[in-house]
Amino acid sequence: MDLSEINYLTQCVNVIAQSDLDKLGVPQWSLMAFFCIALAGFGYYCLQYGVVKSNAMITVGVVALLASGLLIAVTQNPSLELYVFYAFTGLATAGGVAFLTARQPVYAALGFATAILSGTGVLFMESAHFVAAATMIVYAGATIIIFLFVLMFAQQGDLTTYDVKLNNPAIAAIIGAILLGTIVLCVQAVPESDAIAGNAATARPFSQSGEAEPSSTARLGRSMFTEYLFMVELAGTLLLVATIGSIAVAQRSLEAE
Amino acid sequence: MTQETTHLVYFGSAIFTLGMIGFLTRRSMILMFLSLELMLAGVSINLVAFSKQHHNYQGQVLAIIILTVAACEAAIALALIVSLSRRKSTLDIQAWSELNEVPMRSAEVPVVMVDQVRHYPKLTPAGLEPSLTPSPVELGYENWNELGENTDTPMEKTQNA
Repeated sequence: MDLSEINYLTQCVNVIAQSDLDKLGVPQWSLMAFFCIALAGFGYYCLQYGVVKSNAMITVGVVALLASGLLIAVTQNPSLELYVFYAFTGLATAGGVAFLTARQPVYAALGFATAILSGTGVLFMESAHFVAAATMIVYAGATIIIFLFVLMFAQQGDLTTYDVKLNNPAIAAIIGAILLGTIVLCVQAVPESDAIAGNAATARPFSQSGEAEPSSTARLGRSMFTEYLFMVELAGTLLLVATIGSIAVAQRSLEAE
Repeated sequence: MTQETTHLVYFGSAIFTLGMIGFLTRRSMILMFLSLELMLAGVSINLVAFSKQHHNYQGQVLAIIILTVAACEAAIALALIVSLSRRKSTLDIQAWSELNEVPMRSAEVPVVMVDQVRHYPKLTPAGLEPSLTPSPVELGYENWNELGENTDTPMEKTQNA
């Protein structure tokens, strides 16, 4: 490790240490506790009884989402870009909830596809164009294959016991609520500031973006193939190993029959 | 952080938490695998948000690496799901719960003495019937019962005398 590398790391540590993460007051803690308890109860109810059961419930959910979006559009009067951004985030979260609470595996896979594709829309709004396109391509292929698997393995119509009876829904809801509450609390404690434009302390030289928004695919490639070249090689090796491994695992099952 | 980054971190953590709850609760192997993918998507949204916050490309590079890892995971997980569901002809993950750790015995459970009750492993009969070892008569020792008398120890001989 040469001298500039050490300097870069110490600068990063200094930037992290200067934030006001430790200054959490009592009202914030009590708010987080209330938030956690409410969220855990609601999540346990949703998990145990399955919100996405029938078409009527799905329709009610979609109507509620659209109505809340319309309400925000009327009252808050956001710009169109912001409105599309929040519509994508809301749709992705709703897809995730549908994925969790659906009993039919096909509905769950549909919810997963909704969540991932809406998340891709969020990435587009965040000017990460190449990442969004790659995510869409990879997950579109993966989702189609998952659909094939679901249709192959899971019987349509009749639900199996392992689809209906979940594994410790109460404990999982409590853990998830505590995790989410802690993240929200910690993010709230960070003071609001402007974007760190071209900060040399947090960016390697070839990774800095010239513009205000990091949206250039050419600069992304330059960053990836200069400063992260070792990581790219490692990812290629990982792909090779995964290919060999999946072939080996699938072949062993063929021999067993 | 800017307001946009804050909201994106909330969004990414919500997606991550939904995936984690799904992984903990779901019992179907395919849906557990989908939950893992959802967790990875939440992390990559977070990375892209901080990439915009810091005006550089490092977060996007890491998001692409995560995408590669997700593809590898999908390949291996689907192969595993196929091979596991062929063995037991179910997608239930609890069919494989005998692979987990045996719980610790409490102190009240009496310890079974090995000398008194012997548990021999019982193997299910399978395959061809094993060839029995040939009896001494078949091997040509007609009077195998008297063979022992010739191999007595000198001590016993003296005692008999």
